[in-house]
Amino acid sequence: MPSTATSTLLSAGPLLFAPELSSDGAAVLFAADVARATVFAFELPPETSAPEGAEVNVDGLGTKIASLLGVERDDAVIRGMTVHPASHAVYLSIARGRGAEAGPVVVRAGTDGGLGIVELDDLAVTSFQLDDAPADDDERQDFWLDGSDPTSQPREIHGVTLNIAQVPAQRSTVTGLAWVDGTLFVAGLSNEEFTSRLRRIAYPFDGSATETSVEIFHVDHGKYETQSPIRALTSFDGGSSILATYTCTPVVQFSVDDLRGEGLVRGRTVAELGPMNQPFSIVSYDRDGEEFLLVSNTRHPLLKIPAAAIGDQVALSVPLSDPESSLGVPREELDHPGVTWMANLDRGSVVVVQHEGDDTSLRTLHAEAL
Amino acid sequence: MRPDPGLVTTAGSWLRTSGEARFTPRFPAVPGTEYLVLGRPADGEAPWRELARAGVPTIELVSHTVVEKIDPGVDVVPANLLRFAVTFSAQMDEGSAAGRILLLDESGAVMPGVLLEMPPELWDRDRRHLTVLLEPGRIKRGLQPNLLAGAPLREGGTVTLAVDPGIRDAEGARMLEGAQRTYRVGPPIRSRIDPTQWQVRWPHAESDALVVRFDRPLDRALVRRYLHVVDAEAHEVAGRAVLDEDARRWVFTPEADDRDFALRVDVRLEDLAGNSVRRVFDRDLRRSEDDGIGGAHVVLTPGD
Repeated sequence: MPSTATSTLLSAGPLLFAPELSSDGAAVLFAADVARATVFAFELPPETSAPEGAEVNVDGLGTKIASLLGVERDDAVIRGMTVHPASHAVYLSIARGRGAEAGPVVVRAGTDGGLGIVELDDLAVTSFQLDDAPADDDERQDFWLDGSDPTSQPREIHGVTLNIAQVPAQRSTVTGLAWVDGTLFVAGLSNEEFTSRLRRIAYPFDGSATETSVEIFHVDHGKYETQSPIRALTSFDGGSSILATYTCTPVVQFSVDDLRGEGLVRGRTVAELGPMNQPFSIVSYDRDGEEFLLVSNTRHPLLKIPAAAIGDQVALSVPLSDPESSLGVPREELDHPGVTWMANLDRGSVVVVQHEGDDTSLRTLHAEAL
Repeated sequence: MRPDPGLVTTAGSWLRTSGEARFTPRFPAVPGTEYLVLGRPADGEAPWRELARAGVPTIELVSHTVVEKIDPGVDVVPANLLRFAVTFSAQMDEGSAAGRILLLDESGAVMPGVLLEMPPELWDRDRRHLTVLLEPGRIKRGLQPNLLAGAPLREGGTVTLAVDPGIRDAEGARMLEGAQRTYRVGPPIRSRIDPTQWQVRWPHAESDALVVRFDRPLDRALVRRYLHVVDAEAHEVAGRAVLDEDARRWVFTPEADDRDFALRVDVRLEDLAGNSVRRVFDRDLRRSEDDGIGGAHVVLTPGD
């Protein structure tokens, strides 16, 4: 349910700017708080528009963030990235510290390469809770008498002391945020069900959300159909289509129009990632008047897919790994090793976090290099 | 560590009085971290020079956390097992579990790439219960990870889930000790959960309990969430429920004397391999018995 937050983030997760600014130039920053299974929407004051061609590049990013936050490098981990729609500053969500000192921080990297802390506490904020959180005084109708559960506690009921186990509270983890067709899409995993539900949330938050289960066909001769949590997603083709990466590694296209929260939606597999690999981040960009999609992975090279080929493609029926396959979407592996987080600076350039040696950097990659 | 002009200054505020400059960091100092104080003449041309070095003392944290339970609570798991779950004795830190929960083969060697990489770490809200998924792309038939690297578990073998004591609790301390649990690997389960196949003993007398024996071990957390006893108006009936260690037998004793009720099964209830009442984990389109079912619930009544 929507509410006005009384405190700021408890944990660091994915970030996303709404692409449209308000009439006074204010921007809305969505921040997923994984610990509370909540998406916050912070209203940021106007920032100066970036000059034409401005880039964001930061060498030694990991070391610099650690120094800014006063921790060793291993104690500052990037959990999300987005780009301010006007200033093109990169906003990074950072998990700082560990144990009792652990907490989230949002760091801003400007087009001048300077780093600063984004003070969230003073900003106007609203929130949307993803799960039905149990209230502190939750009186469940079912008691669990579960001797096998070490978390059970003695409790007196009708004069008899019983060992009562608490039902562990479900929690959704957010892996991806996307702005599609004027609404916020939230992808993630639950600690309980292995679910494919994709949430579509209206903003300003009014409590309404629709959930759709997106089934996918396997590419192996179209024999199997499955569901899996979506890892990351982006819109393309003018906002009419979504390209999503799945936890079980296919890259799948489906239509925004189908996501009405009713019944099942079937997606089409357009590519697959190999074993020992997970999809990381996904963006769309334009080059020479054509639209392309980029998928970063934990181990494999950057994958580049032309958007037009996805629309033209008929349903897959042979394995994409088969070099003789004539039906697979043409795709290309790009030589930009170590790219993890990605976000659009504009339609013609993408900011990436790239591993370089024993550190990371922020790099602006232009369409000509992609 | 040496002074580097490219370094960013630590966030905080300086208060300068005569002969003294006091720095208050924006964030609390982390024990074990070393800070450098650099200075240069006011004209700003000379290089930065180290003025002082300040270390925040390391705190000796007392280890007290242990693993209380590893699920599934069965000895034999299906070859297409989807998840393990680890319950800790105290609230844990989020972010230290990656690479510290491992699956070992018969020889004790780590099986690479069989568990879904973390992050994200799938904690419950109290951060005492961590769900560990096997790599779903390795389990699902026909996907590239499955075709190229094979299924993660081999029927007939044994596997051991090992929890490394390096996982930190919410105070930042390592665990007192690690833990492990060994399973034999049985045949895969590739069918929907069918509640009509359950053995249900409906209570007759007031003192009777409802006893349900499932057709297979189910996911413990989801049994708790998705199995309910309801009255004639479809309201949940209060009572005490006990799920056996192996998650195959469920006994429900209602608080009230009325025994006129039904068992309501949410179709999202899953077994150990991720098959639900609604659908098979990876559905074979050529098998009509793999077709999913509609509706939100299956309701069992004494007349069934």
